[in-house]
Amino acid sequence: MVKAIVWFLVFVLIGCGAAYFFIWSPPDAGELPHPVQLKTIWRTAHGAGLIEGYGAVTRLKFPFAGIVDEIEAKEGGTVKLNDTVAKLNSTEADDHIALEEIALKEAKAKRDAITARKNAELSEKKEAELKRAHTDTLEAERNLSKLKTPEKVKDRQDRQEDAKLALEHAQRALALAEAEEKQLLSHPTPLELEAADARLNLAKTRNDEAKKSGQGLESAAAEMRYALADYDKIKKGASDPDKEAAGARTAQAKSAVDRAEAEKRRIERPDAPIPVPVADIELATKTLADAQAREDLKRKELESLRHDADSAESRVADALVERSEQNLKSFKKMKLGYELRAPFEGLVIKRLAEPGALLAPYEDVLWIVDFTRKRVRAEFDIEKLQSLIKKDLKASIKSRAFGKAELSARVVEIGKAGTRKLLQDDPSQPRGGEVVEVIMEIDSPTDADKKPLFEMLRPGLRVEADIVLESRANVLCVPKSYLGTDPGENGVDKKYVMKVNPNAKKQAAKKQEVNCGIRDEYYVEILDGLNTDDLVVRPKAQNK
Amino acid sequence: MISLAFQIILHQPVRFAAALLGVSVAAGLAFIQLGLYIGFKENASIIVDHSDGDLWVCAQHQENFDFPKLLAPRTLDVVRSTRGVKSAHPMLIVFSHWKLKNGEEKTVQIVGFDTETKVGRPWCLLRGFSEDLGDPGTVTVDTTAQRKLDNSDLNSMTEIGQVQARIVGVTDGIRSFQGNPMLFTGLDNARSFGHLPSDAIHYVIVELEPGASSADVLSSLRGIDYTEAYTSADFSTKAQDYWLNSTGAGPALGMAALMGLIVGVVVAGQVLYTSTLEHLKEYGTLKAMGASNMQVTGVIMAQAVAGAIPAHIIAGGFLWVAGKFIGGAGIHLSINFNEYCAAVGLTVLVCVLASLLSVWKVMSVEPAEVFKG
Repeated sequence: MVKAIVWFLVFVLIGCGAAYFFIWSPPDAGELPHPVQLKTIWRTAHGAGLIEGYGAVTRLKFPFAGIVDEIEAKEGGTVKLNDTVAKLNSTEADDHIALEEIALKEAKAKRDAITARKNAELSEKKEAELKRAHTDTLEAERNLSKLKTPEKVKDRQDRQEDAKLALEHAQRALALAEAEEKQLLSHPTPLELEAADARLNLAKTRNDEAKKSGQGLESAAAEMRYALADYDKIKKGASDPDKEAAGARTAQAKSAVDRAEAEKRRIERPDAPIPVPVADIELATKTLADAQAREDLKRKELESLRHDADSAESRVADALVERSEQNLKSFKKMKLGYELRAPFEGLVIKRLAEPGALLAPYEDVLWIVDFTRKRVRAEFDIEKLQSLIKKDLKASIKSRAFGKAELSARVVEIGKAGTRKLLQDDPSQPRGGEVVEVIMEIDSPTDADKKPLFEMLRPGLRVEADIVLESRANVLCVPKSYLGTDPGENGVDKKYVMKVNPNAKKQAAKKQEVNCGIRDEYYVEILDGLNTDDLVVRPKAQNK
Repeated sequence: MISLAFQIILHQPVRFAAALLGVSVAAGLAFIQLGLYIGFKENASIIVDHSDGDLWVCAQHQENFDFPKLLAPRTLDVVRSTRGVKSAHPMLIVFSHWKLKNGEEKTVQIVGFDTETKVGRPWCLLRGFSEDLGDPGTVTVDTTAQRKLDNSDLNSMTEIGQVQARIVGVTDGIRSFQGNPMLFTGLDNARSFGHLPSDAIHYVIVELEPGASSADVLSSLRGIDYTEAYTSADFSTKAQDYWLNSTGAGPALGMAALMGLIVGVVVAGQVLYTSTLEHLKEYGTLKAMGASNMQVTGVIMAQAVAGAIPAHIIAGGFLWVAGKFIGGAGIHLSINFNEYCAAVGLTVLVCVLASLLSVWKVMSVEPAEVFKG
């Protein structure tokens, strides 16, 4: 009997356990209740982004190919404006400069020489032209004077003497022409024929001897042919054209004697002086004026030449000097390109070459960024843009590099909306959706603990940013995990907490519906349904 | 007669306890299998059953709800422009990998829903706000899966499909059929976790205009190229059919439940029959004393029923224990208290069936045989 009762009790106990499981197990009041407290709560918009400097990253590069001599800047280091950050081997440029300096000297020397030579040559030429012009002037003056002045006796005597001399000269020429004609008509003389005959005989004799001896046959034959021809020529005498020419020369000489006699007679019997025509005087006057003008012009040209060395050749020489100077200037400027200088005060974020490296033209050497102001470029869900994110809103910046510490920032610019771009190379970043780009400037911290964090910031560092959209101080709050949800109608869920009655003997929690306000990552504002210091526990999973 | 039945039971308590245990185990086994069957069935269509919508549109020739095909991007607009459609809401079902702290990865099933309309949102959100699921990289985690997922809770961080994720909600008891943890998130996040194109959708949940004919709208929707459309009930049945019938899981569970019942019948029948045989003379005496067959049958039936009630209670205990152990592992034993109470009839029926052989034996006993020595 007793055994049966024991068995029965066992069954009942197991059955009660089953009933407990199926009916409902009350919340575990063994958990330490959480008191509802007044807190300041922040409604935030969460985004992720990258640290950047003020402005885009500047890529420093050499314009030439070459070997890197030295690089002063280091990654993570800072550079000041105009600091030399890298140098390219400039031996070639130095050589170019040295050669160009020599070329300049040479060009200058050439120019000086040309200038000197040109001056001398031109002066000489101009002086000669001036002299000729002066002679022309004198001649013109003399002519004019002659036209204006009557012929004098002495002049007439001179002219008579000249005519007499010319007549004598013509008579001598006639005698010579007649003698030559006579001599020509007298050929050939017997002596000439005899001499020619003797030369012909001699040639025949030599020819015969050559035939006998068999030596010098050809030369002997040629000599004989020459002697024969000479003999024929002499025997024939002067030719008809020669005779005609001699006759013509004699006739010309006679004609010259006649002209000279006529001139002599005209001078010995002078005519009455003929008045000089006015036109001739005017012409001579005009000729004199032209000659004087030419002389003046040449004189001026000479004077101008003496003062002006800018002839074409000199200009070429000048141009060469100028080109050489320009080249030198250009090479010196080019040499500046062998040194990279910081265009602004910034932070070196990447060093892409080392000393000894061979660089191609315009190959990146250093990346620097203006890091005087540190900013965050982050992407936020587009929904938060609707009149929520505004300029000057405060934000907190977190990073895995900071640990639990945060830096403060403020919104300075709300950028364009679009698809996600910033962290696309990070596979852990969510994709899709529409975002708005927000730029925040990080405040320089006054707190000594945070200063190292601020200094630690580097462009490209990934950070999480929470922009404070709204905050409420001293409001009732419960942790998010203490807030349960019951599905409501039309997609509106009902929120509840498990409220513990501290006065009850058994600390069973009771469901209490609440209305919620804003919430942050951890806390939810309770608008009604709870009071300060009410105790709540976490809703327990039913797991059904 | 009932007191006589109890006297007989208490006369040999150990034998009764053994019989009780056998029946309890058999009934418990049957209940567990039944619970599992119903639970699996519910899980197979859990999303469909809990989403607010009248009709579902999916890709053509799609067999399985959990492994959907992508719909053409314009399908959503076409559905929205269909006459009789009040609203249409996209949904995504993707599988991805949750990165555990030890570096291992756990496959998770992610439901992406439209966070603006909230159709398809988690229906049992224990903590957190479903509105937050629109934020980039946010998901829920279920209480049944927290242990599998490094005890993740609100504000825990992890990576899903190599994408950073933050827990902003905890659901309670939402499981998938395959046992993978089921997470909820916004559409963009689901695409992000599943590495799908930005316009990918798997389902369109349709809400009908008041007064619109479901059949007419269905007919119109079925005219859209490369799509199929179902009512929610049909779509739920289709989802269940795939897992329970196409895969053979349903018949296997049903067979196991039936085997449990048969084992119960055999065990209880064997115990009762042995007891009846031992007390056959007493039953003959009763009949000799003028007891009718009905009265003797009543005694045996009373013994069977008296055993059935505590056996049912004990079976409930087994069910509870199984629920505690199995439920924690993510499997759903879907049998509630009312169903359990209603199932007492089944236990009694098993015991009554088991007693039929004994009843037949007693009824065949002649009173005169008692005196034959």
